[in-house]
Amino acid sequence: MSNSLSPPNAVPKQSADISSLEHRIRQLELEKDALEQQVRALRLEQTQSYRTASTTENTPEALNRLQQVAGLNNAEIARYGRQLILPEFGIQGGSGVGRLGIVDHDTVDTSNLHRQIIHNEARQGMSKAQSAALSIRMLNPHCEVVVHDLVLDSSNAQPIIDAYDIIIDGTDNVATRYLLNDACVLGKKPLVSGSALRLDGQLTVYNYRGGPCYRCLFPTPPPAETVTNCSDGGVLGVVPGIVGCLQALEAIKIATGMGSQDPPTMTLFSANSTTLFRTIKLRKRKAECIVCGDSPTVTKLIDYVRFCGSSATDKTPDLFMIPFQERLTCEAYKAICDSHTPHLLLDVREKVQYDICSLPSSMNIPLKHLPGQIKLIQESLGSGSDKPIYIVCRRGNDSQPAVRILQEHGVTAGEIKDVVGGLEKWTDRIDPDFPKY
Amino acid sequence: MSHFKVLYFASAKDASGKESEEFEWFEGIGCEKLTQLLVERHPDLAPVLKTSMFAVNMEYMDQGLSWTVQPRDEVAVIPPVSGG
Repeated sequence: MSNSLSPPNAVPKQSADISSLEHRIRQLELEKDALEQQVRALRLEQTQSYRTASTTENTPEALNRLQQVAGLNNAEIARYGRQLILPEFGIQGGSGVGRLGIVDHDTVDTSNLHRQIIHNEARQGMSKAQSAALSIRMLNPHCEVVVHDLVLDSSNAQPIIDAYDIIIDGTDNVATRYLLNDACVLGKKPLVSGSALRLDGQLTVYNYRGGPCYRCLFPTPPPAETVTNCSDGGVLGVVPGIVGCLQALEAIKIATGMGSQDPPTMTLFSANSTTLFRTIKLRKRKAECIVCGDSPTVTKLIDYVRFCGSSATDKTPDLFMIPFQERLTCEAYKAICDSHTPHLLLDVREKVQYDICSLPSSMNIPLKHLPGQIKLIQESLGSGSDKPIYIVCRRGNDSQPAVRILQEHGVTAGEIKDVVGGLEKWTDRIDPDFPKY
Repeated sequence: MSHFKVLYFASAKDASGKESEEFEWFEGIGCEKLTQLLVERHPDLAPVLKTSMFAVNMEYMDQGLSWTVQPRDEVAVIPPVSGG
C-alpha cells in the first residue's frame, strides 16, 4: 500500500504540483491553439494567392495599382446566399467586402481583448493590423486584406483614404477623428464614424449625400483635459461591439445603395438607459463649414495634433507639474516602507480603482474630493503633526495636483511628495504581482 | 407652470451627474440662454457645453441660428465621444 508509506505532508505538496502542472497544460494548450491558427492562416495565404499588402506598399503609386475587385465567384455566392436572396439586396449588392484595408499602428495588449474581439490572447504584442488581417482571413478567405501598419497622419492619410470607397472610423482619439474627417471631405468619401466610452456610443455617417461632416457638428475640438480615453474612463466591452456592428451595417448600406434616400442622422447608444437607442435627425452640411462649406479654408490636411492639442493615440500622456527632484521614485518609497518610517500614504484614485488593488495601510481619497477632505487628513495625522505624506495614484499624474492641494492647505509640517509613475511603475519596478488594469 | 426636459449624454451626463431633468420654461430660451441655465445649475457643464451640440425633440439645432425652446420640449446635450 503505497499510500500508507507517504509522509503526512505529501498530500498538500502533491495538490500544489497538480495545480501548477494543470496551469502549465493550459498555457501549452493556448500556445498550441495560437500556433495552429497561424499555420492555418499562412496555408490559406499560400494556397489561395490572397495577399496582404505590407506597409511598404502604402505609396500613392502602389495604392493606385490596386485592381478593381471582380464580381462574385461560386464559392462567394454559396457563402452569401442568405443575403443575396434578400429583395433589398440582390446579386448587385453581393455583400462581401472585396478589399478591406486596416490601419492601426498599435500592438495587441491584454486590456484590449474584452472589446477588440478580432484579436485574441495568443496575439499579445502582435501588430493589431496584422492580427486583424489574420482573423479576417480565417473567417473569410474571399476578402482581400490590406495591412497599413502605421500611425495615420496628415503626411500619409490622403493616398490611403483615396484608395478606398468607404472609410470606417473606429479610432480612439480626437486628433485622428478630425484628420479622417478632413481627408474624407477632401477625398469625397463617406465616413462611417463610430465611437464608444464607458456605457455610451455614437454613430454617424458623415460627408455623405449632402449631409454634414464631423466639423459641421463639432467645429471646435474639445480641450485635451476634458477628453476621457477608454484607459482612464473605462468602457463596457459590448458597447464598441454594438457600435461596430452598426458601422458595418451603415457601410453595407452605402455599398449597396440601401437607404440612400434617408436623411442624415446621429444614433446615440446608452447601455444603461431604458431607451437604448435614440436617433437625432441632422441637417445638411453647413455652408460656412471651414472644410466642407461653400468657401473652405481647410483645403489640405493640417497638423491635427496641434489643432486638437492632444496626441493621436489614446495613451495617457505623463504630466510634468512638479520637478522630478521634489518627487519620490518607487524605489525610494519602498525604502521608506522597509525602514518603517512613520508616514501617511494617500491614494487619490477613484474608489472603483482603489477597490481593484491598493498598497497596504493606504488611505483612499479621490483627487476630486481632496479639497473637501482636508480635515479628515489632519485628523488622521494628529494635530501639529510633522509626519510626511506620500501620495500615489495609477500613473503618477493625479498625484501631482494632489501634492499641490495638500501643500496649499499646509496639512503637515513634514514633507509632501508623490510617487513618480504611480502604481503602474510599482508593478514594473517593485512588485510584479501587484495588478495592472 | 410649463417645463422642458434636458437629456444629458456621455460627458454631459458625468458633469451633471444626471441622465435627464426638468427645467422651468419661460419665453425666449435660445441657445445662449439655455447654455446659461445649464451652467447655473451644473457649473461642471461649462467646458463640456463649449464643444457639445444641442438637439431639440431629437432634431439637431444649429447654434449659429436663432431658435427657442418651447414648453414640454426635450433638449439633448450631445458632446462628441472620441473613444473606441
